Amino acid sequence: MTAPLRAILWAQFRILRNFYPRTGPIASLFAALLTLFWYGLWTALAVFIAGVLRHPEQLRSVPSLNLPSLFSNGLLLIFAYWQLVPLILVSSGMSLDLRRLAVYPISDTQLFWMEVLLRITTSLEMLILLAGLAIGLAGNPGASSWAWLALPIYILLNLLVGVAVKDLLTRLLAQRGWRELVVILFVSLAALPQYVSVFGMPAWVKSLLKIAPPVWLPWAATAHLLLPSRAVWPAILILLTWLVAVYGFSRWQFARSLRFDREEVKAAENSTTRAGLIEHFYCLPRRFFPDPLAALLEKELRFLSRAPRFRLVFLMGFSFGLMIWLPIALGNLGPTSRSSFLANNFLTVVCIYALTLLAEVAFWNHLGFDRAAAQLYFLAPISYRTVILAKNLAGFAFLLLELFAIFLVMLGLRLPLQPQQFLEAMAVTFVLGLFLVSIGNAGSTLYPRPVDPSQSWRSSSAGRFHTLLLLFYPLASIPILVAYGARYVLSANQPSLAPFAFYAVLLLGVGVGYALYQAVLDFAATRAERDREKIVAALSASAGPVAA
Amino acid sequence: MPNLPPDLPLPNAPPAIAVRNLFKTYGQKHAVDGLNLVVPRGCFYGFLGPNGAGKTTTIRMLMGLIPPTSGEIEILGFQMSRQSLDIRRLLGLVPDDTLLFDHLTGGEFIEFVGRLYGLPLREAHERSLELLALFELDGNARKLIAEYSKGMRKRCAMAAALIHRPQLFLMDEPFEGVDAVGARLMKNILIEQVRRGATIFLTSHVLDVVERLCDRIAIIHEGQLVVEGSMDDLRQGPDSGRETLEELFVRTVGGAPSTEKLEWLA
Repeated sequence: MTAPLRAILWAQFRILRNFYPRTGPIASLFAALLTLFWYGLWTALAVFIAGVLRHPEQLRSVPSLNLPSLFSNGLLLIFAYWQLVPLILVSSGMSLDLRRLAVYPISDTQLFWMEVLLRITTSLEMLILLAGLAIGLAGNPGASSWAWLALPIYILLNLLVGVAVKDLLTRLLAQRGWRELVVILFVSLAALPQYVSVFGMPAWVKSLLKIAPPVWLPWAATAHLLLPSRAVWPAILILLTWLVAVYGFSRWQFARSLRFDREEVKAAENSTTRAGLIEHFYCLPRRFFPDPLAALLEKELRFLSRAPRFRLVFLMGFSFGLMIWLPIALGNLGPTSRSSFLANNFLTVVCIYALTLLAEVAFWNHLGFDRAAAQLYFLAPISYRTVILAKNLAGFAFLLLELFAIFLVMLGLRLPLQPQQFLEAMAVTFVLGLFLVSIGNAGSTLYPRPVDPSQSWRSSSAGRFHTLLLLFYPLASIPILVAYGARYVLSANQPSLAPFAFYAVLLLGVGVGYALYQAVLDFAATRAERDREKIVAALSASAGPVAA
Repeated sequence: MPNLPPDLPLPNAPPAIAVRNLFKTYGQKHAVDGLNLVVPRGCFYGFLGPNGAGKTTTIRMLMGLIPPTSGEIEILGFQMSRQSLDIRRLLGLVPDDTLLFDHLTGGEFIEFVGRLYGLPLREAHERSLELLALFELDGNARKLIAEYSKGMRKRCAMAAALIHRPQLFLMDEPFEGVDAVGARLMKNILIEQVRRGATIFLTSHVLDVVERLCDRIAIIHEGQLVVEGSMDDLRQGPDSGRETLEELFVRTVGGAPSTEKLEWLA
C-alpha cells in the first residue's frame, strides 16, 4: 500500500481513537455486543453454507434441487443485498471525504481504490457469506480446486458496482428533479421482486428467462465457474468482460464525483426557486402561535423542506414505504397469521415505516442537522425549551403531511382504504411519534453530532445513539403492542369492546407519552443550557478523511 | 552572478500562476468572468475584491477543488487540466477551515499532511513538532482541532501548509481571526518564504496587511479583473502618493455609501 493511503488510514485510526473514548464504556460495550451478535448471525449462516458445501451428499439427497439455479440465484441475492440494502437504509457506509482529500497530491487512482475498499463496509455480511461459500468449495472433493477463485472476482465486481452506484447517486441526489426521479426509479426496482412474487411474472419475461441459464449475467457466470461445468472459459470471459466494463463505469463516475461542484447545483436550483403555495404553508405557524415559537417553527419548516436529505426521506416515506410493504401485505404468503396481520394493518405499517425514516432527520439529532443555527439558539433571548418545542412541532407537521401523502397515494392507486384504518394508522403513528420525539430530544442534547443536510446519504445521529435506539424502539412500542394485544384478546370474547379497548390503551399511551415528553423536554432544556459549550464544540467538529 | 538562495526562480522560469480567459459559471451567473492573470514567481501577491467578487471561486479553481467552466490554468509551468497531481505536490494551502480534520490534534494533522505530501514518517513527525512549536501550538499538543479557536485553526493550517516546503502558497483569508501576535508571526514566516523564492498568493480583507506585504495586487469585481499591478502603479491623482490601499479599493469597486438612513435606527 502506498504512503498516502497509509497516511489516510493512520489519520482515520487516530480520529477514531480520539473520538471513541469520549462516548463512555457502557454504550461502547453495548454497541460492541450488538455488532458481535449481528455479524455472529451471518457468520453462523456462513459456517452452515461451508458445512453443506463440504459434504455434497447432503445436497444430492434433495431430489428437485437445481444446483446451477440455486448458486446463480444465491449470488444474485448477494448482489441485490450488497447494492440495495444501503439504499433502503439511506446510508452510504464509510466513504472518502473527497472534498478534503482532493487538494493533496494523491492520484485519482489511489483515491479510487481506497474508495473501492471502503465499499466493503456497506455489506460486510455478504463478504462473510461468500467466505463461507469459498471455504465450503475449497473443501469439497467434487469441486474444482480453483473454483473458489471466481469469488474474489465477483466480490471485486460488487465493490466496483457499489462505487459507481454511490457516486452516481450522490451527484444525482444533489440535484432537484433528478433526486425525485432517482428515488422513484429505485423504489420501482426495489419493489420489483415483490411485485413479481405477488402478481406473477409477465409472459414476455418468462419466455426471456426460459433461455436460461443466462450465463451472460455476472452471477450466472460466477455460478458456472463455481460448479463443475463444461462452459468454464466462456464464463471466465463473460465475468472478466463485466469486470472491465464495470471498472470503466465506476472510474468514470468516481472521476466526476471528485470534481463535483455542489455550488453549481445550488445556483441552478436557486434560479428556479419559486414562491407560491408553499409560502402559505411556511407562514401558517404565525396564525396559531405567538413569536418566538412561530418564528422558530417557520424557520424549521423552511429549513427542513429545503434540505436535500430531509426531502429524500420525506419522499421515500410515502413512495418507497408503500411499494415495499404493499406486495408483502397482498402477497401469496398463504393464510398465515403474519400475512393476514400485515394485510389488515398495512396502512399502519407503512405509516410507522415513514415515521421511522422521518425520525432520522426530524427527531434524532435535530441540533446536528441544523448546526449553523445552534449557536444562535444559545445567543438569542429565547428559552431552549421553545427551540425544542418548535423543532418537535415542525417534525409532527411534516409527519402529518407524510401521512396524508400516504393516504392520497393509496387513494390514487385505488387501494382499499377504510375510515377506521385511517384513524387507527394516525393514532398509532402519533402515539409512537410522541415517545420517539422524547427519545430524540434527549439524544439530540446528549449526543449532538454535526451533519451536512445537503448530503442525502449520511446518517444523522451519533453512532452511540444509533445503537441505543435499537433498545429504545421496542420500549417506545410497548403502548402500541399492549393496545394491539388488548384488541386481539377481546376480539375473541367480546368483539364489540375490542376497538374501545384498543383506543383506550392508546389514550393511556398518549397520557404516559405526554408526561414523558414534558419530563424529557425539561431535562433536555436544562441539560442544553448547562452543556451549551460542549454542544457547540461538538457541532463545530467536522469529520475525518473517511466519513461514516 | 550573485549568490542566490537555491530555490530562487531562474529568470526564464514560467510564472507561478498563469490564468487565461478563465470562466466559472453558475447557472446564468459568471462567478469568474474571463479572468486573465499572471503571478510572477517569488512575489507576494494580494488578490482582493468585495464579498462575492469571485476570489474564493478563483482560489478553489487554482487549488484544483473545482473545475473551471472554460479557460486555462497553468501553475509553476504545469497545466491544471493535465498535470494536476504535479501541481498539488508543489502547493501549500491555507484554505477555508472546512478542510481541517477536527478530531485530530494539531500535531497529528500537520504530520498527516506531511505524509500525504510524501515525507517519510519520522521526518513528518519531527517537522510537525517543530512547526507546532514555531506556531506556538505546542502548549496545546493534546487538544483536538475541534477545540481550537479560529486563530489557532488558521495557524495550524499554515503550519501544515509549510511542512513540505512548497513553492507556491495559495491562501484564502490566512489572517482571519488571528491575533496581532499570531499575525505578526505568520507575516514574518511568509516574508521568509518569499525570500527563499516561494510565491505567495493570498486573499484577504485586512487591507493594511496586504498593502504592507504584497509586491503586486489584483482587484477583482463581479468576476472580472479590474486593476492589477504594484501599489505604485495603481495609485492615481494628485495625491496619489498618499492613497492607501483601502482608498484605492473603494475607488476601484465603487462602494458608494447609502444616503438614505433608516428612521428607526436613528
